[in-house]
Amino acid sequence: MRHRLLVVLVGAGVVLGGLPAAAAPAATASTRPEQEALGLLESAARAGRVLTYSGTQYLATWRGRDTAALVQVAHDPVDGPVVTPAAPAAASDPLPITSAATLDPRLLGRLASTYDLVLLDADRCAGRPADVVEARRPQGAVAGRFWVDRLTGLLLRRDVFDEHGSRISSSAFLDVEVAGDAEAAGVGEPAPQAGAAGSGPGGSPEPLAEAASRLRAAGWEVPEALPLGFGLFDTRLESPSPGQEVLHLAYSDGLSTVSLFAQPGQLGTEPPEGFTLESAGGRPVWKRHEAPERVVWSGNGRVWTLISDAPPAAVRTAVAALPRDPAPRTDLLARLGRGLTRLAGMVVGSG
Amino acid sequence: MKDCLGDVVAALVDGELDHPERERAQRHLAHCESCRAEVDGQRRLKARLSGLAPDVPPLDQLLTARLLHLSTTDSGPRRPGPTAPGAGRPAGRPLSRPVGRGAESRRPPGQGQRRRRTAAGTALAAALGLSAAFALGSPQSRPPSTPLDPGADSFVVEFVNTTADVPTARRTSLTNGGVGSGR
Repeated sequence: MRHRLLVVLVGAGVVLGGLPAAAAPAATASTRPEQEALGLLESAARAGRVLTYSGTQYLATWRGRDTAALVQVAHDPVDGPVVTPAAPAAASDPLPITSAATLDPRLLGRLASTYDLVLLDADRCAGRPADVVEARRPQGAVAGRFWVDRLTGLLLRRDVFDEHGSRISSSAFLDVEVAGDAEAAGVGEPAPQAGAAGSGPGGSPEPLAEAASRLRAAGWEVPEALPLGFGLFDTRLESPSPGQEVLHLAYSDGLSTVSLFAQPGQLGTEPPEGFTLESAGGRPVWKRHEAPERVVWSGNGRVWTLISDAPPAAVRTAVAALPRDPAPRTDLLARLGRGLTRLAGMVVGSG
Repeated sequence: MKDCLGDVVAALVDGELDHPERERAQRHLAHCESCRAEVDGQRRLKARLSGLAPDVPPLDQLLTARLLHLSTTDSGPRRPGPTAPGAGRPAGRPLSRPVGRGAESRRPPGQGQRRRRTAAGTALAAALGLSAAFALGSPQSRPPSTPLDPGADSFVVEFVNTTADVPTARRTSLTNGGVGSGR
């Protein structure tokens, strides 16, 4: 059984990973309005919530260390999805990417505003006829592609590409069974356009703008957007211990997500296991390149942790746009000054 | 007695005073029993040390004695004038002699030595302090101070939960899944 799954995994990797961006179905964008493409994705977002379905998915990334996994997905509208690893098992690694069939309705507006949406010719996925929606960068390069089940509206596959047109992640059903009637389930109804909410002090939903304003009033830096079309869509303020808080800001361009964690404090001496000390714009950062990419640095009295499945260029640009401490001076006077300050602090602290 | 010889006793014993000073010292000794006793004691000690020259105390003993001497006498420049009887320079010899004559030669013997000791001690303390500051001032020597490990996998769990628009409890099961690797 395990060998069979591995063969499937490798085979799927060859099929999906080896498929060049240029081999996509032909575009008929000139005759299919963008609104129709967006409508298909809105239906897919709703279908992923209201339908009962199960199947095998292939999840893979091709960045840093290539990763791939097969998972069994079972979903019903009441209990939501249950995802079970199929092969291989490496319990310490979190799955790096979003599973297919899951489309966040909050991000569709962002997707449409950042990219041009076009409908390509019909294709097949998991043995089913599918409409294909492509997200294109302003210059015309492919940024993402969605396969939507023509019969049920369920999202069957999603690919994301970097700025060079190379596929960096893919999630796809290899087989899927959908129970019930999609029309009866209301797939065609408009998807809820949630105005992106944050968690209020009591855990209650709070409009994003109000949440951001409240956080800024409390002294947190909350950028409304990051470069390359990444807009803020979620905020969460957690308290891991009394008197200490960690802010989680989530940004997306509709295809990828940038999670930004800010916590008061200083960066330590040594990077944690798996991270390397690197320089970004002449300033030290800790990096872990495998998906999802992680970058840690300090700025304005806080330690920032950025986690993202976005293309590397988007991650670099985001880090460059966020607060960072200047690189520490390494000349003798600066070093002695730092040392004397810390020495004085130790003396005062022990007194 | 306010006119007692004080540090001049050592200079007298060592023969370092010029003629007028030596005469003044001797006039004082004629009527000051305590200074006579001091001079006598230092002369005997000098004679004894001269006789024991080959048996010089180990360096650490010398250093200890000098440091002890500094601790009891190094409260500032001393003048040969008012010094309480018996509170003058102890038996130790000056470690070096003043250089020059005239006004310089009238400086109490041992004062320059003390200054050099003080300067050496200050320099040593400064060197130690700067060494500590240099070590502590390394850009890489900052201790971490964050509520959570900034590289913690819990952040990845949060990230995955955010990307899926799925209730956290359900989505968390995803993070226990398997991921193969290889190129």
